[in-house]
Amino acid sequence: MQRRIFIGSLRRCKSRAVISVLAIALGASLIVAAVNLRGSIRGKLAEELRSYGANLLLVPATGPFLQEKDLLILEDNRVKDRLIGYVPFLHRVASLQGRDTVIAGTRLVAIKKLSPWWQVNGRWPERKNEALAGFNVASKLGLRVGDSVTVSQAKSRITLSIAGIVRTGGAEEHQLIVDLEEVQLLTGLPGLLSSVLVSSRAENGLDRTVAFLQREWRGAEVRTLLQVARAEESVLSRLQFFLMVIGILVLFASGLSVFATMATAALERKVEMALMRALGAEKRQIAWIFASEAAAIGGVGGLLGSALGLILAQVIGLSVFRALVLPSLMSLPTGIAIGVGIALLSSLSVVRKTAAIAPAVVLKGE
Amino acid sequence: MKFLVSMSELTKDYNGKVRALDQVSLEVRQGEWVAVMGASGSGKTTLLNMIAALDRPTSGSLWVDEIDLLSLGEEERARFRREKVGLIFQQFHLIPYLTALENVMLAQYFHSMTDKGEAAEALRQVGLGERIDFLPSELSGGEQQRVCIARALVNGQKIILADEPTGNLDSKNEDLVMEIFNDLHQAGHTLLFVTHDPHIGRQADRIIEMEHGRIVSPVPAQIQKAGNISRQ
Repeated sequence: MQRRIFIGSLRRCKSRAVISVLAIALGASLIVAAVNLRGSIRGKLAEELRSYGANLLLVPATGPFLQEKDLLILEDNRVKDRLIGYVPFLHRVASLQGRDTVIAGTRLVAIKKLSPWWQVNGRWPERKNEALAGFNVASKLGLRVGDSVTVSQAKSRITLSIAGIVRTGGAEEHQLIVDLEEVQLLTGLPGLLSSVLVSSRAENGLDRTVAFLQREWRGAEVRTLLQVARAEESVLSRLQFFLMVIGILVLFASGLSVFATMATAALERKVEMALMRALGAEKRQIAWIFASEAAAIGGVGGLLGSALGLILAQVIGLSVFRALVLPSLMSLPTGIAIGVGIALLSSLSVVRKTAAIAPAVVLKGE
Repeated sequence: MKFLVSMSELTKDYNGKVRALDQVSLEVRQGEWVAVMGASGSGKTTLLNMIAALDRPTSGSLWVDEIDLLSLGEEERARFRREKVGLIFQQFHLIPYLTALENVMLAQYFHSMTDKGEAAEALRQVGLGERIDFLPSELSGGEQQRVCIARALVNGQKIILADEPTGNLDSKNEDLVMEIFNDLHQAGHTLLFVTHDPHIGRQADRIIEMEHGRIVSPVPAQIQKAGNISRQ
């Protein structure tokens, strides 16, 4: 009988039920899309922010240099997965065309990967005797791509070919960027470094990386490049907050819609419920009739919302982040739980009022 | 003499201002057919609602089938209704999306458990054996009222309470329905009717006339018939 009442009443108010289902589906789809995007957005955002460079700087804690062999610490399995990359530097002042200039010895392949925003006029160096000239250095000395220059320090000297002129918006524009080994040989400092830039994933815990390096690399002082690191953390937490607020607002709107629908249904079925009470139905039986209808509407809405949410997540993923979003296993239970929960919650007051209906008054038509 | 309904000085006030029942005392015997008559607002339906445990008196005492209705809580009153009382309304009040059979089974559902055979038998008793699968919208007014009667009888209730049961029927259907009530009376059912119609009222064993919430003339219907008293 419960099934007949349930089916009969839903059939009778098909259009109203459809509107409720759609309202819940809309709310649930946004939440499911947010749940699915959350992980991907974090990953993608962190990746985007990585393009802004390193977020940690290692400098000598005692003495003037770091040991190049200690770079093996950064290859340790306990930290390797959290690192996007690292670039060692040996900065020295040398004479370039007769003028004192900062020479930055580095691993050019590594810095190219870690600093994709660098604008190189010409090309990146491909051989050890090639260099990148910072924009200011090139301007002052009148250097052009393809020029040959001599760099000297004390009695050593090397001849380099300018492969490209680089604009970075930073200190590199005042430097000549050369292969690390060349600078070590020129300056007589083999196996020594003046600093290491490290890029660590923020979402996996920058603090853990810092703690590891402080513990393992005794001769290094670890400094956080706060601007980038904090920007990552801040953007991620703002994004989470934004998704949460949108989710709550959408759920609230869906709840209002369901409440309006259930309230209309209760009004329309007032006589029906009063009759059931007059026939001896208990309050909980009346409440159960309404609650099961609300739960069914919520469940179907949630199911539909889950499917729509997955599609929406893919659309947003492709259009905003240019990547497919991996569907979360939690999508379906999340959608259904949200649908049923919102439907029951928003119809709670209606259910209670309907169950407490006074049959004598209603059946008399007052 | 065993009374099925026994009330003493029953009073019902609404909001402390309107007195719908004013110290009404009444007794109804098992198997008796009582018609309650009176003008609109005289308290007839309120009296019926009290006996049906649909409403709660302000003061007085009310016993039905040896149950003190004033001592019952809300859910106990619901239980009383499903076990003791069969209700019939002027507007029928059938569930529109349930068939005639399912409307009768609805009373069984709230009472204990549904029995299709018993429900179909109740419909056959009121002459609707061939129309059990019809929706209320597919039945005439008289047929709908007969479904209500079947619904009121299906659980073997002690007392049938009817509020203007023929008020929405034409004379042909009215006769059909009254014939069923006569049969029920002959079979020993206790009937209590509210009606405006003196023709209907005169078929009862006793007429109770109400005015301003009080019983003014508990005259046996047979005497009224003999004296050709007309009430309107």
